[in-house]
Order: sequence, then structure tokens, then C-alpha cells
Amino acid sequence: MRVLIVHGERRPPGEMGGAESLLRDQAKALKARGHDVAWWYGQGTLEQACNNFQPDFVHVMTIHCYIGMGPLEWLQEQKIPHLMHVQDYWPFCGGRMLMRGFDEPCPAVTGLCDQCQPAPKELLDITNKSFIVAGNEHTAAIYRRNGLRCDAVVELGVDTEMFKQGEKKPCSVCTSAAFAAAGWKGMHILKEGIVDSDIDVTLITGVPREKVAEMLRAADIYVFPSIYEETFGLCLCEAMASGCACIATDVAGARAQIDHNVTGMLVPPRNPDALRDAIDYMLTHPSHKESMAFVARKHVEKSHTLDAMAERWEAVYEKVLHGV
Amino acid sequence: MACSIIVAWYNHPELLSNFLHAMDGEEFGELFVMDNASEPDTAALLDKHITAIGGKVVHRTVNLQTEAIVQGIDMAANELIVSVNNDIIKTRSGWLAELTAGVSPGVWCGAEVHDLSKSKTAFIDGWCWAALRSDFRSIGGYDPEFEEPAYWADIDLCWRATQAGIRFQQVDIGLKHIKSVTSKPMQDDPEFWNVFHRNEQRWLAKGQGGKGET
Repeated sequence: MRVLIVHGERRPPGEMGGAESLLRDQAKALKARGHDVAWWYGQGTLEQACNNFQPDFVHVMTIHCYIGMGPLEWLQEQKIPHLMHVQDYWPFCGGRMLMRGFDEPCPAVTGLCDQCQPAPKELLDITNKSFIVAGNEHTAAIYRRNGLRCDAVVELGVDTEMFKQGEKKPCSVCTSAAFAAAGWKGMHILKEGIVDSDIDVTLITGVPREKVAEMLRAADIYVFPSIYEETFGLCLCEAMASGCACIATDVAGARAQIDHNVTGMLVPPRNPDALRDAIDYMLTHPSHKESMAFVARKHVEKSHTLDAMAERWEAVYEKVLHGV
Repeated sequence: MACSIIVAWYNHPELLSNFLHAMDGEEFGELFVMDNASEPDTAALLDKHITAIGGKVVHRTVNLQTEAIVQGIDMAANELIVSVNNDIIKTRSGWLAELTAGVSPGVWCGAEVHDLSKSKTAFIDGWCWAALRSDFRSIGGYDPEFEEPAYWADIDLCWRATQAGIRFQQVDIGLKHIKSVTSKPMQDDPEFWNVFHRNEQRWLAKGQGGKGET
């Protein structure tokens, strides 16, 4: 199949955050399964890209800023087979992230958006005309509850040849994020949690992905302190693949990946004490820590490799194309 | 000889990661996790993670330990049976092969074997033992008259086994039992001790002799 991946951040894939790293991995995974893949991120028009590449399928993601909704509308008008893999909550949340300040949960997380920062209505109207994919079941539920159709869920995968177990530095603790300064990543909560303790946390940010993988290989414990309803959380998956014992806030994407006390620990978001207590637990219960890290790694190897993800995408492409 | 592992499980999902780690790399023919009416969250975790390693989860409606083990033994396709607790930690790989290597007609192997002089029987600790199913059945298996969960059924089993000439062999294996995770909460309940003493009386009434062992 010839698949054109569309994203709207106006930079080549891999140069920005998790969603953008995903594009590169996704292409790699699909190519490994024999598909031809190309990217369009605003160079020329989408019509030109389609005329040149002649895709069988167009896979759209992160198309909400810079490029705008025009390309999606064009795909709909031309009836070109496509799906929209929605990242974040921009079709109905003007702030994108379901955040009402960093210390107050947004009502849309468990109920309905109260329009504190409404998105333009046309975003929802236009998006709802496409086949929508979410990154996990909990995000899908939020979408559906707030008027965004959700036709499928595809949990993501990571390159388990890059992100793999290494020799651990005992009791080392780390965290990571492409945009660590962004409030929704919760780094300020983690910092507050450890400020009066002996716990030292290394922040992995601003380095090439290969360096991220190298640092995660050596890390014993990983903390994912996000306070936003992550639509998946690739950082966490990378850490699990790297054999880290993971602590994550109980937000959508993390909850989809971690079974509490089995493949890691889940703690309430926005709670610095809970983060610190979980780190303390990991440091003082080495056997349980190691077994959780082990089972997490096994889980990723089984269900969240690039190949497993590509297989899930293939099934969705077939569903859109042939209704199967 | 391929073995069938039987594990009774009631809640305590936090034990799952150590258990899965303990099973990793051990060559078993079958793994039955007898879910003794755990809470739905635990049951779902068992379904997800036990099946991922090739095991089967049997969902039961009552929490009866020995009944669950007997049910698992009856379901097993293999003659070589391993009964193991869920509150275990692996300290060394290869424990399953080491445990089962010495099992033969009339010889049961276990991680801990004791001499219970007061009960006048050798005792193979129930958290990890292996035997041939035909041996187990030849002595009548567990006596269902002993109310669960308050012990004595295992002492009764061991007594009948030793009376039948079965020998218990302790094997040094790379598996540890996290004591009191599942039993301590029960022992805090006064009703537990009522049942314990009723079972003790049943043991004495069966004429096995001996006095209480705790």
C-alpha cells in the first residue's frame, strides 16, 4: 500500500516532540511491512503531493495549527481514503490540552467540557467528517463524550531495538520530555515532590533520540509526571521498553500502558507527595521494582513494538478502505 | 516430563509481577491460575498477563484454596503436578526443573519439608510442592471436610501421604515464599481462629493423633 502521512507542524518528522517522533517510527514500521510511505508537512500543496505520490491511503495527524484544516477538507471533498489520528483535544478544547490552570483538573476529563476555552465550532464539524483514531481507550471516551467521533483506537509502539534494557545504574531516577518546560508535563510537580528529599532526578530533554535511548538504558526508575490526559505517552513506552521501573500519573495514556503494581505504579496527577512516595517505594522494594520493570519490558515486546503498531494501523486502513 | 502448574489466586494483584518474573524462562507444560472469585480488576489483570505467558485462568465463584487446587489437578493434562503459591519471588532461574527432577512414584518434592513431631507427620509446605497426580489421588487428595481457609487440610494430606509410604524430599530451589502476605490479614480475624480450632478438632477426631501445629 502507498501511504502518505500528513502532519501540520511544518518541520520534518523527528525534529520536535512525541507526535513528531512517532511519524518517523510509523513510516519505518510501515515500510518494514512492505508499504511505500511518504510525508507531507506543508511542502507544496497536498493536492500536488497526492498527484506525485498517488497514495492508496492518507494518514493525517497533528493537523490543527500552521497548516490549518484546509488539507483535511480537501481530502474529504475528494473522497480520498484517509483517517485522522487526533493528538490532544484541540477539536473541542481551545487550549488543546484539557487544562484549566496546572493545578485544577478540567471537567472534560471525567465529564463534559464547560467551554472555558472553546475551540471554533468548525474544527469539530470538519474533523467529525473524517474517520477518527485515538491513541487509547480513555482518550477515546473523552472524545466521544465531548462530541468528537472516535472510530478506532490504535495504541502506539516504540523501536525496541533502540529502546532496550541496558546495564542499570542502581537507584538512578530519571524523567524525560521533549518540551519539559511545558506546564502540562508536570515537571514542576515532580520538582516539588523531591525538593526536601535525597532523591535526585535526571531530566532527559533537548538531546537527540539516540541519546535519550542511551540514558534510559542506564536508568533504574523512570517518572512520568504528566498532568495532562496524554493521548498516549511515548516517553513512558520508551522507558518501559528500556527496562525502567516506571511511575506514572494516572492520566489517560499512562493508564492505558501501566497496570498498577504489575507493570509499574500509577499515582494521582498533580500530587507531589504521591510521586515522592512512589519513588521511595521503588527505592526500598528492589524485588518488586525489578519484577515490575521486567513485566513492563515483556509487555512492550509483546504489544508495543513498531511491528505490532504497524499491524494495528494496517487493520484500521483496511477498515476504512473496505469496511472490514 | 511435562508438568502442569496449579496456582490458586485471590486478589493481591501486586503479587502478579513477581509471579510472572518467577514463571519466565521456566518450561512448564501447562499453567492454571485458579481465580478464586477475585475482584474484577484482579481477574482482568490475570486474564491479560497470565494468558500472555501461555497460561490459562479459570474463574471460579468461590474462594476455596484446596478445592481450587483439586479442580486444577483434575483439569491438568499432565501427570506431573506442581502446586505453587502466588506470593513467590524467584531468586534463581531453573527452579521448576530442579523441583520436579526428583518426583517419582512415592516421592513428592517441595521447597520446604518439615518434621511435625507434635502432629506425628512429615510435612511438605503447601506453598510449593510437586507430585504425581496418581499419588495424590491414591490417598484421596485433600479432605474437603476441613473448612477453608484455616489450614489443617494440608497437615491431614501429609499425614495420609506418609501413612501410605510416600516420602517427602526437600529441594533447594531458587524460589522464595513471601510469608504472611495472604495469611496475615486472615489471621487478624477472630473468626479465622474459630475455624482453625474447629479444623484442629476435626484432625484429632480423625484419629490422626498429635496436637496443634501452627
